Amino acid sequence: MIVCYCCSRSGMPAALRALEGGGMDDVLLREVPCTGAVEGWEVLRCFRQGADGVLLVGCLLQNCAHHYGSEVASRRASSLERTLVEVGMSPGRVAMVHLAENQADRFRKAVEEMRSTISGKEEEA
Amino acid sequence: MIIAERKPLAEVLSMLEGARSIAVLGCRSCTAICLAGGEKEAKETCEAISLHSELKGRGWEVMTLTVERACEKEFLEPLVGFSGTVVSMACGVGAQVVQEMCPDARVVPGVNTSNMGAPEGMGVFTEKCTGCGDCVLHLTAGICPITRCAKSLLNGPCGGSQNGRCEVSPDTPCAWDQIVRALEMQGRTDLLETNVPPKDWRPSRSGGPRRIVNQEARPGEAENEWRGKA
Repeated sequence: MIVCYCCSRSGMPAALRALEGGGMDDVLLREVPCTGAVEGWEVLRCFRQGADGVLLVGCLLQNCAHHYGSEVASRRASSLERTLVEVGMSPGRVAMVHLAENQADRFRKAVEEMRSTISGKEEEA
Repeated sequence: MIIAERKPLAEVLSMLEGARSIAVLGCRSCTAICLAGGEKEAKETCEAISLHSELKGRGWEVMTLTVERACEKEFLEPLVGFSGTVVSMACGVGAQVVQEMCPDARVVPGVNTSNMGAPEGMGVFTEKCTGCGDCVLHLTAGICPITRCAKSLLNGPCGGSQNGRCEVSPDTPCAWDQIVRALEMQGRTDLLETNVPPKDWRPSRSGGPRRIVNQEARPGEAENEWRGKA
């Protein structure tokens, strides 16, 4: 399961359009006002609840409706990635995706990349 | 406010060897403002420790609690009687008061306490006060030369002050350059003629832990007798 925190302005419309194409049964969308509002503990709890990966899907850099939200979320994703490695998980399970609402392909590509990273790590294990 | 920064998670985890029941304690005061140990950070640390425990089969029971001010005993009542391990996200003061309130618990620090300072901008916190115990801010336009001058000079800048910058680091403004400019702006350059004698460091850290007793706030003898504490 890949949990995607999607901002209501860009991430959610793009994700919904990508889901219309099918093949996204392992994707769970969570709408948030801004990806910058997603707290670190929420992301970590997703993994405790069984998520394999988490994507933060927000606006393009310098195009965020909340000015710095997607920039903050991007740094938070990097920090959470380090935290997950420190607690004993394989890398590549948290990522930030910057996109505009009409870029459903970018969302689909990010999901596929995360799927292949996770399956690669599981095979290694 | 007291400025602190989070310890690396790996260091915190290494301090938890042998633990069973763990409480991650956040503080809503100073460490919350400097984004090191408030409710959000405590919850994040709690989730990370829980995740580590589940992945590695440690069997830890982890909970989190955030109090208004961990340095005041009244706010720590919910922890009284706890005998597990407390990961304190409060400053060093809070961690010690928690240990006093829970003598059977093992208190480990989740943050490194750094200094007394103020937020300068988003995510930037700068030291402002050393707590030297003998304030001279009235002579220096409200800019502390003890803390903000690398050499704690009291009578003007050293020769290393260049273009308003300290020789220690080009990122550090020269405190005395700032003081002179501020006094010029205030029309108080006469204060620069004040000869400040060598500093008396006795009220500072040289005599061990300091203690201030405000008699006005103390209950009197009669009060003590009435309470049976005389």
